[in-house]
Amino acid sequence: MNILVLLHSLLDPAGFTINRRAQKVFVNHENYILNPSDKNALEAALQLIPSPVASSSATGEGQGGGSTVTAVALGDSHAADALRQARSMGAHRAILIQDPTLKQADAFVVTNVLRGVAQHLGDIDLVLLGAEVLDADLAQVGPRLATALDWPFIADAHAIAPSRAPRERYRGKIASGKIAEHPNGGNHRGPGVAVIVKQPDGFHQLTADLPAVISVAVHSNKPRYPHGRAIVDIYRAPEAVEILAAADLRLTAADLTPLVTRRGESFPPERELGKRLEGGLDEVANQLANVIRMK
Amino acid sequence: MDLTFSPEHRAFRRLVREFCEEEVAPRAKKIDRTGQSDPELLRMMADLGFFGVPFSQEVGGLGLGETGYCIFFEEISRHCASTATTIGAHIGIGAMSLYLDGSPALQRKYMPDLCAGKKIAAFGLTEPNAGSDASGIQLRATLEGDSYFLDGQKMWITNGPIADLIFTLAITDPALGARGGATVLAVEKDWPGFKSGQPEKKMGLRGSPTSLLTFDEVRVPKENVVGQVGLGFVTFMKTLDIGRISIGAGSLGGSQAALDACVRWAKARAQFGRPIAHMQSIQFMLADMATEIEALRSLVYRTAWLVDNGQPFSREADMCKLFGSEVASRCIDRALQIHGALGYSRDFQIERGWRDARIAEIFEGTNEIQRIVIAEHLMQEVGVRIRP
Repeated sequence: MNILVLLHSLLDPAGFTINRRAQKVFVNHENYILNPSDKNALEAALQLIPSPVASSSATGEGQGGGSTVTAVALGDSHAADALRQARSMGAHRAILIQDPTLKQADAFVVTNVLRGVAQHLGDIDLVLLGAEVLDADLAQVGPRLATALDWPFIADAHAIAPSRAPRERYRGKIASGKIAEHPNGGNHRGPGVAVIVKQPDGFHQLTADLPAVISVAVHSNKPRYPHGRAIVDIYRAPEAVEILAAADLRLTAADLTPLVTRRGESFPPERELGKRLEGGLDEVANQLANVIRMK
Repeated sequence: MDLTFSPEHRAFRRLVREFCEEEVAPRAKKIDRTGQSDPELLRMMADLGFFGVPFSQEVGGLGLGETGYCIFFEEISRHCASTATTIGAHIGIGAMSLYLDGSPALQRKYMPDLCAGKKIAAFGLTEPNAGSDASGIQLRATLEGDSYFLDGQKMWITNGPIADLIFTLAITDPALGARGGATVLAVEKDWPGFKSGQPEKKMGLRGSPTSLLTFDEVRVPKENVVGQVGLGFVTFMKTLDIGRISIGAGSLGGSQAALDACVRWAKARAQFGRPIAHMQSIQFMLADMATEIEALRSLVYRTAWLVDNGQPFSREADMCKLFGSEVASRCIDRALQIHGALGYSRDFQIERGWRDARIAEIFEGTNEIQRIVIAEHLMQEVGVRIRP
């Protein structure tokens, strides 16, 4: 299985505050982090393949028993750092898409770039990405990419496992968050994945044929720490991250033109304190019902 | 003069910081309360290569040098001084003597296991009658055939109760005394005649096991001599020299943690209608702490740079230990004052920091000894040899 994982590096929310009066973000402490659910997506990818890269090989070639995890990110030095973190954790390859035309990239452009990367690599079976990006993200890239590639999309996965289950969905309730064996062995269409997603009424297990796009829920796994040796080797090797420009992916000008124009930022007012309901049980229940009915 | 850390050092610091915040910090209180090191935590650290940070990759370490080791020690010391001391004694003085002066054969025998954390090291110098006066040691190693027989005691040995490999200094030629007739020997804990005593009950560093070691005619093969016979004192002094820098790094971490706690507290705690951050008395204390910490940071990492670049560092190393231990004591004491009653409560970690910091002025060569040695360096430059 060859997996592509999309990573984002962004400003740590713990380091800035939003001043609603001034309608501005004040950066108190500038610190860049790997988007948390992207890290979970990377961990999910590493758990799906038999052997992630051992620490010593700076290029990651020829390892993993035929399965590879490739990390990709758009941007500059911070994105490159996120990619090195991914290599240190065990990803075989890291690709930085670095291009001045991508500065204002929106979900449409990111999708086209990712489509280009998947086609450039040629043999991708699975694209994993974080369920949400902590900056101004609308979680569009996953479904857009799946549509562009004509692959199935599953959102907010809590667990992923290879599966050869039949096409139809197993609409059962899963007591724990763990993948269950499909009750009907049956004839199958080819390699697939079984995915646990959380619904309001509990966990559900879905299956999809590969290739597919799946977004991974934040905190759905515990990302591994890189070995100290891997950190040293990867950060000392300039070739650990491959750099491609938009031209290398054969993208058209239309592909790179955002659909969305950013005109500025505005922040909603502080949430007001709630209303206190008092009285006996029936009175409170009535008041609550009225609040819900918005009377 | 390029004062930036290399990319791998920055990335390594981030790894250690995240690991400490997730894994070490939640366990620190229990480690102190129970007086037990946490074996699961130590195993996790060993699995990430943390037991061999400064040692070359050829012998199984990470190859991050003294700079990497100071980074590592600083970050751990922010959260748990006991855990830092356990690993510090293992890397900084235990395995270090083997790394500095051990023969290639002896290094091949033990360094890979030490770097992988499969064996824990201890450094055995101090005795009941030999502390600051290290030349007063009495542990005796008598050569018979192709083995030495060790007889005597060591005291206050960090990792004594848990060490698999003890690097110890013994007198091999009584006529020449400690300075010319002592030898470093690597002793395995399972050899007959070796015993470690009960862990000492201490004010602080309670999770760092320390004990008496007894050697009752322990047979040590000749190949386990570290360095040269008769020159063990030199090996051990070299080892202590380099170990002092990491004490400075540990003090730096503890001081920084104290300052960070004070800054957060000054924001959160309001009295007389406003956060205490707005009071000059608090501001002055914070500014003094921050300035001393910045000075210590420069001193520690510059000294680590001297080591990694093959330059003399002995005088600066003593300064790291001397200045670091006193900065840490001052910072944690101010932190206790700023936190007030909360600082005094055992439910918060300020009092643990206060108890843990104090020993740094005593062990690894008391600050009095550091002052004497620094003065010796100074006077030597004008041709005066101070008699001890």
